[in-house]
Amino acid sequence: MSADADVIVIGGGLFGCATAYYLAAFGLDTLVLEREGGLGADASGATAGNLHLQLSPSTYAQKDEAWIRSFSDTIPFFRDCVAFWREVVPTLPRDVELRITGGLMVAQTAAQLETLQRKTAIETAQGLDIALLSRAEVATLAPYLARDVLGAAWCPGEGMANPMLSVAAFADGARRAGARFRTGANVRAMTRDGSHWELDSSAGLLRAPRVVVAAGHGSAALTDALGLSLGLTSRVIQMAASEPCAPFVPHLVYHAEQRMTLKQTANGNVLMGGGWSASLDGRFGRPAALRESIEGALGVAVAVVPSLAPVNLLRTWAGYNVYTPDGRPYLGAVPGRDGLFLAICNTYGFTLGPLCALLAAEAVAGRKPSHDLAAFAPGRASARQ
Amino acid sequence: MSGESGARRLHGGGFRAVGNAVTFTFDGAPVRGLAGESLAASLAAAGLIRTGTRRTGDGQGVFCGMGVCQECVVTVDGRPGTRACMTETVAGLAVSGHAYAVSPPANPGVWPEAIPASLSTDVLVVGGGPAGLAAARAAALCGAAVTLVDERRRFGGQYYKQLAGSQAFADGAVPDRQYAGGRALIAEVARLGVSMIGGVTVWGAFGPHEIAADTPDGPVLFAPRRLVLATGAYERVPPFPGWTLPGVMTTGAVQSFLRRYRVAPGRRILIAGNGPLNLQVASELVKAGAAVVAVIETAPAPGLSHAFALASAAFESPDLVRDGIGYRLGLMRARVPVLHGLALVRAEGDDSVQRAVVAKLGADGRAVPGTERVFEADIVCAGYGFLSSNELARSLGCGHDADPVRGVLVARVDGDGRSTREDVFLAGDGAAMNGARAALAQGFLAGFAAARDLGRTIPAEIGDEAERTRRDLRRHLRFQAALWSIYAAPRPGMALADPATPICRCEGVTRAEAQAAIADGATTIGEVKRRTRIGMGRCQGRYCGASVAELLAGAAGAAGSGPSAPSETDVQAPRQPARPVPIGAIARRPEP
Ligand SMILES: Cc1cc2nc3c(=O)[nH]c(=O)nc-3n(C[C@H](O)[C@H](O)[C@H](O)COP(=O)(O)OP(=O)(O)OC[C@H]3O[C@@H](n4cnc5c(N)ncnc54)[C@H](O)[C@@H]3O)c2cc1C
Ligand SMILES: Cc1cc2nc3c(=O)[nH]c(=O)nc-3n(C[C@H](O)[C@H](O)[C@H](O)COP(=O)(O)OP(=O)(O)OC[C@H]3O[C@@H](n4cnc5c(N)ncnc54)[C@H](O)[C@@H]3O)c2cc1C
Ligand code: FES
Repeated sequence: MSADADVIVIGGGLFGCATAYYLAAFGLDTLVLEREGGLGADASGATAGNLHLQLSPSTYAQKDEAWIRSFSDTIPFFRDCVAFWREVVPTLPRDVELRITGGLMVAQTAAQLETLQRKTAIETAQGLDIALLSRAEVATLAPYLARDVLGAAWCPGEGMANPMLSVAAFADGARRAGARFRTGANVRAMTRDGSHWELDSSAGLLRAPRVVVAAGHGSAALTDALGLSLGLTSRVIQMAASEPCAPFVPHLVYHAEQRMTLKQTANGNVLMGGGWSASLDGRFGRPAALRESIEGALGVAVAVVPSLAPVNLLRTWAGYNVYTPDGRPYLGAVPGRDGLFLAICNTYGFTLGPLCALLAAEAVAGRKPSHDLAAFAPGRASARQ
Repeated sequence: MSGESGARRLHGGGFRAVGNAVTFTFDGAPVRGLAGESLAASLAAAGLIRTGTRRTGDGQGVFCGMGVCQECVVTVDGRPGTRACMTETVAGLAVSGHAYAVSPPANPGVWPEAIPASLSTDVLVVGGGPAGLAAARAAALCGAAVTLVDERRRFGGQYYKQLAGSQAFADGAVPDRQYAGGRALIAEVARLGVSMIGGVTVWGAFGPHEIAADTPDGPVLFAPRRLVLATGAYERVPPFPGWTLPGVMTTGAVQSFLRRYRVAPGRRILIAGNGPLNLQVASELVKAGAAVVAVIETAPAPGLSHAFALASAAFESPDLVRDGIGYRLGLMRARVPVLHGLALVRAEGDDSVQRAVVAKLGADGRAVPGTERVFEADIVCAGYGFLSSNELARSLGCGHDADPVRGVLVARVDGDGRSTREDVFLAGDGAAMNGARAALAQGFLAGFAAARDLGRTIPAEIGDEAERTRRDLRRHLRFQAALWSIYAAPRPGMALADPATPICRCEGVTRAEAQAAIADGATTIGEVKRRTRIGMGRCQGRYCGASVAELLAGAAGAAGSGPSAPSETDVQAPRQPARPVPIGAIARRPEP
């Protein structure tokens, strides 16, 4: 039986589309499979689209100091990933509204200020360009913030891009380089048949010598069925968007303690996120926003940017965020499984997407990796449960 | 912001203005209105038809007149995105025209938190039209504690539209059936002790017992034991060139100007589309002394082929058929042409609409060359039937089925209006379009069943009324079926839209842009949306969803492509909020 492609990529989110973009550029005949919702229907369509460099307050709140110190070695990788965004955007066939305008993590209590101090010390040690601003400096840099903001960590390298256009841009680029996409193809099972993987999908049986699992939240089911224990977990989290406003919040704003990320898109909408829990709707099991989380997310947002109070909320939505046991992505070949590759992220996959996709594609194509992959190798010890 | 206009207030005819003359400002200039009318009515009466600027830079103004389209939004006393059609005129308001990107107020430094009130009740009825009023009445008659809310301050909904506070009936005038019937029902519901709260926008239905609303007194979370959704319908308008010009609006919007506020928004009004409402509104306008240029109906003139349907309609509801004949005679006497088998194919004008072009449609749904006729008009109404406002029900997970013929979703309910979701009842046009009489009957049965669920002892005469209502409902549904078949016409779709016609009114996304996204590989509504912003605007996809579905079906080469029937899953999933709502009205200070 002949193959349907050199490589099949399962999943048409940012990871799948960007991986296909590089695979096609490497000259491999690539086929991307995506479910009924179409490209970007899951996390990569729901994401806030922030390009993060700072350690997140939720990481900080949930883990102990030792864990944070050991995790902090990812800071340089994040920096490389954002730098890579700047590099790749000019090569894409459409604009993705990339803007690096800096991020501010604000503190409203003395305890929060102290957290920021400890955090920036760790980050500075890893070479991150970050500074603690005084109350007066914050008021000058960000006059839209509430009066009780006592200080903030200022990281000029952070920014944002439009995630919906980013998925489209990588997909368009991949298509131009010859990659093919099939939506409405839900992969139900995969088996190794001699030299090929055989995928049982809602669009029929599909075969290829190499397969990349880039299925985001759907990855766990596929890899569990193969007996891989990756320890993937996921959580539905939600977002909220205001009506379009004239530009007044140029930065990415977060909070030192509470769940919040807030920024204004190129279109003017203020996006409010920060990982508030969502639920699944009762009828179709689709991610749907929770009332308490809408109220809370908006509460933090207005407490930090009070001018938002009379501005209208336009939309909320939710999506799956995926977590790996050690907080690092899975990239590259699965040991002992011929032709099986992973491109799965632990949260922050928007920031990390393009560079991770390049690394995954290099592994598939057997090229020399442009970054040390050891920390992300699917067989690494730190990811064993 | 607007050119000259033929808008004016209508005097006499059995009505009198009673609202105080008040002055407010629009973009700094004084405007005189009547207290108790809507800002939209005051602005229209002052000739301000263009009240905002679109994403494209073009003008916008009232379109639906009923709170759904969000195109009438203005900034009122620093509150951006405030619907002029839902806001009462008060002396001294500072109103400014809408800009696509609104201006948030200067940083107030701190946020004064609004604490939500929690309100439990036996039965919460959302929507105060015929269905909601009847539901509240039945539940109250059975002894339930009932709360009835509507985002309008005045109850009555669409069919029972009541005069605004700015107007009253003249001494000795006899209000027509819609005014009088509504007034009587509203009074009875109030007498029965129903807690009636106007100005309540339900923005989120998170569960049958968890209904979030923004009210004049701040945020409220309703915790009802039973929920009746009677949210009505809004008008369907297919895209055509010029349909986003200020002055192009739905037939219902003009009806609201007339029946609520006694304002004629233009001097030459053209009404086009499909269905009985257009004739009714035209004849009401003529009676009130406004000039109707023509009524354009896409369905063929009723002829022999309709004899059976007409006879059946006349048998089920003779008075309504008599009304229909009366409308036609009235228009004939006023020499208003009623042209069948034609369609509005284009609206033209600079800052606002000045002309309407009508033509015969060919089998491809496009204008047949040589059949075009031009009418000068300063208001052009389009009404092509209705779509249910079912977003609250759908976000609760109440099941719906596609009606492929009419291209709508119909709620899956039993004879009492019980939905597939526990404790939730659906009644009236919000569940399926069946007209005011069916809405009354369905509302009664839903309210009755909700109260019975709660274990109330049902008075015998109410049980009897429920029996009668069940019989009546069957008759009303037969009447409605006959009416639809008289007005049967090819469902209007995308055929008239030029490449440059916006199909998403809110975000200004054109047909060509949507098609380019499809050509680039988008295969789902979601993908087209993510590439173009289609459906991401204030109306939340209510007016563009069908257009995108049709383009996708056409691209996929679906058999007989044309307007396609949405299924429950490919219509955009309803998302909270059901209406845009101020962030400060929802926000809660989280526990640290
Ligand atoms: C609300 C939210 C906000 C976020 N904010 C940020 C942020 O600001 N910054 C940041 O860096 N990260 C953020 N993230 C995380 C980031 O968005 C994700 O890590 C990233 O988008 C993951 O991309 P992906 O391609 O791996 O996954 P996805 O985008 O989920 O793509 C996987 C695709 O695979 C498809 N699929 C799954 N199973 C199958 C199957 N069996 N067959 C076929 N197809 C399948 C899915 O339909 C899906 O489209 C956020 C995430 C969420 C949910
Ligand atoms: C614009 C328009 C004009 C019409 N005119 C006529 C006519 O003249 N004659 C005729 O026979 N039929 C008319 N119809 C048809 C008419 O809708 C029905 O016959 C009848 O009014 C249906 O009653 P209902 O109670 O189901 O809905 P409606 O009468 O539409 O009442 C629904 C109510 O729910 C409220 N509502 C909706 N969503 C929310 C929310 N989220 N929060 C709070 N309140 C909400 C609305 O404000 C509205 O008052 C018209 C329909 C429309 C849309
Ligand atoms: S005209 Fe006011 S919302 Fe449509």
